[in-house]
Amino acid sequence: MGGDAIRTENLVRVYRILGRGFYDPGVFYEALGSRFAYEVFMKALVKKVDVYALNSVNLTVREGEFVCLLGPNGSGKTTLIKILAGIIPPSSGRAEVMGYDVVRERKEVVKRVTYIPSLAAAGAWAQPRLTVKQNLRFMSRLFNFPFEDVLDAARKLGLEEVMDRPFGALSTGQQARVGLLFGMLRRSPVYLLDEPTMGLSPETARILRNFLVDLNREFKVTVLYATHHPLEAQEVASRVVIMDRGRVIADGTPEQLIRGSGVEESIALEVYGAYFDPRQVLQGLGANYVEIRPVRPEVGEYEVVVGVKDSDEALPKLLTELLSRGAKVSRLRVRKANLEDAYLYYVGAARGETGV
Amino acid sequence: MSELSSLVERIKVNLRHIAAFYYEEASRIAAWWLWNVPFQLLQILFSLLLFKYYALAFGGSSPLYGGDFMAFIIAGLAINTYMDASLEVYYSSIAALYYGRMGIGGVHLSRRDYLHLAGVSPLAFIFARVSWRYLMETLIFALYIAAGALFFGFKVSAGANLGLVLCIILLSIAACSGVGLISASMYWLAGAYRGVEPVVWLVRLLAPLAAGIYVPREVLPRELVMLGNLLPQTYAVSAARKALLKGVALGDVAGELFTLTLQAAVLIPVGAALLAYSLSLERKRATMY
Repeated sequence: MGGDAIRTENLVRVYRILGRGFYDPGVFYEALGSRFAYEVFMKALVKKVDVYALNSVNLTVREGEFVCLLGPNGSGKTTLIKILAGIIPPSSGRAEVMGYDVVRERKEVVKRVTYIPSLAAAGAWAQPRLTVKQNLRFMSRLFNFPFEDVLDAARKLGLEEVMDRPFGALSTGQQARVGLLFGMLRRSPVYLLDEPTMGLSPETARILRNFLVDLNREFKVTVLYATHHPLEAQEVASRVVIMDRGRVIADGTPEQLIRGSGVEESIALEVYGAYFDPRQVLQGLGANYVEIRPVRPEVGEYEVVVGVKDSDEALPKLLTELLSRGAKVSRLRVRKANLEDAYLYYVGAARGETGV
Repeated sequence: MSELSSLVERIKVNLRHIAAFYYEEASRIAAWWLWNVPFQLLQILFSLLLFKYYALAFGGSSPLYGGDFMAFIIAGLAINTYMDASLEVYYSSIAALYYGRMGIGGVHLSRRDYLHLAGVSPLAFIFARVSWRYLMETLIFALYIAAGALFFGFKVSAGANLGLVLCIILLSIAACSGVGLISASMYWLAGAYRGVEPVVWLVRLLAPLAAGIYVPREVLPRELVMLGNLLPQTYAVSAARKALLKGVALGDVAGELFTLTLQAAVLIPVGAALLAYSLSLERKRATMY
């Protein structure tokens, strides 16, 4: 392993947006009759607020590491990756990729980075009217890739059958594969991926993950992979960084994070007839985290996941608490803790929701 | 020597990128040409029929300005086509560049972002779009002229000074490009992505009346004449008519040419500076709303 591939110091990104009330126009919008009039009027009245997409992020990724950025929606993963790719500048702090500053040496950074965005953005390159082959030919000319290599990669991604169909007529997964193809062809020392498997079929997602793992092992490329799927992170990453609300809240190997969370087992329950707030009721049971997913709250139906140190000790207390209040348990499963449990613990702890 | 070779290399790379964008544009036309081209040809044919009967009705000369009617049509078509393209092509290129950039910090990426990630200069993209538009406008203009000459017996009057007309067209393209660049900067500066772009909207509102395109300026009130004095179209149309209808020499349109040159010299740097500022603003904000 060499030096640092990615380094950030006190990285901050602030978006200045219009404050509370602006995006919920309600009666004022109707009174003014148009969006534009509403905007002009309200912009003068509504105070702007600063939203910290990144709040003092310090992160170092060594060359050849495979690091997953894990975090809920809006935790700052995308903003961090966009800054590292030189797409947006930070508001303050520093970020370097392969020793180059992302603001002052943006062009050098771009040469060393391959950025694969999520499916939502992959279509921006491709023209919907053109066939897949025409789109690929255009992109191969732009990037100066031999067209034969492009076709070869397209075959590996199972695109040969749709080569003569307009891009706009492809299924979502097929469009995503076209988007991925060029990211996969471009070789660079650092790969930045932003939820690249979103919307992909499991087999295509696996092709991409295997490709990245091979690339990382054989060519020692550095991979920073943003996802909000802990199990995906556990499968591929040598190190996981958990973010929430613009901050790094945990950092370590998947094993270290699981151990650090103190969660050894996870109890998953499906309950119904729980006409009470399950979170309130489960307080004080000594769980590491409690995750409540409402299914049909009007009939008291919830999925409850509880991370504990010892299920033998926690389960009887848990069941007694629920059953004594009239709830019924339709399903119960106990399993060994994985990164998902650790993730829920760390995010809950950062939000002050654990210790119940 | 190494600086020279790196410059040559950069030019080569940019030319390759421009060629790729041309390929993309050509493929887009080719994709549905069988549907679109017949309509375009019919439009040309019917426009020429209109000109023909218009000319017949007025005895072969322009009803407003006299002179050869064919020359009047060529002047109108050429000047209008290129000036109109110059006014709007920069804005549409910027809009194409930033299409898709919405939301606050989401994974939405625009074409501009992709170009950046691919190491492609946005200027190469804008240059390709602008030059492609001029190429297409020239092609359509040539089709008008060829069809007019072949089927309707149109011919340019012997006295017309075509070299001078070309010079007028180039200068009016330059002056209107300055306005076009200012218009493009409005995408971010004024938030014109909402729909209407105010600068070109104003120019297009005033030009038909105040620049003397449809109405002789002599009949206009003083205020409109003064407004018209600010527009490049006023000088371009006036000079083109003199050159085509009266076959005047360079000296007779020197005033118009000087004003067009001056407008280009002022408007292009102002437009470029505003556009650069608006793009830097966009990069700082990195969000559309």
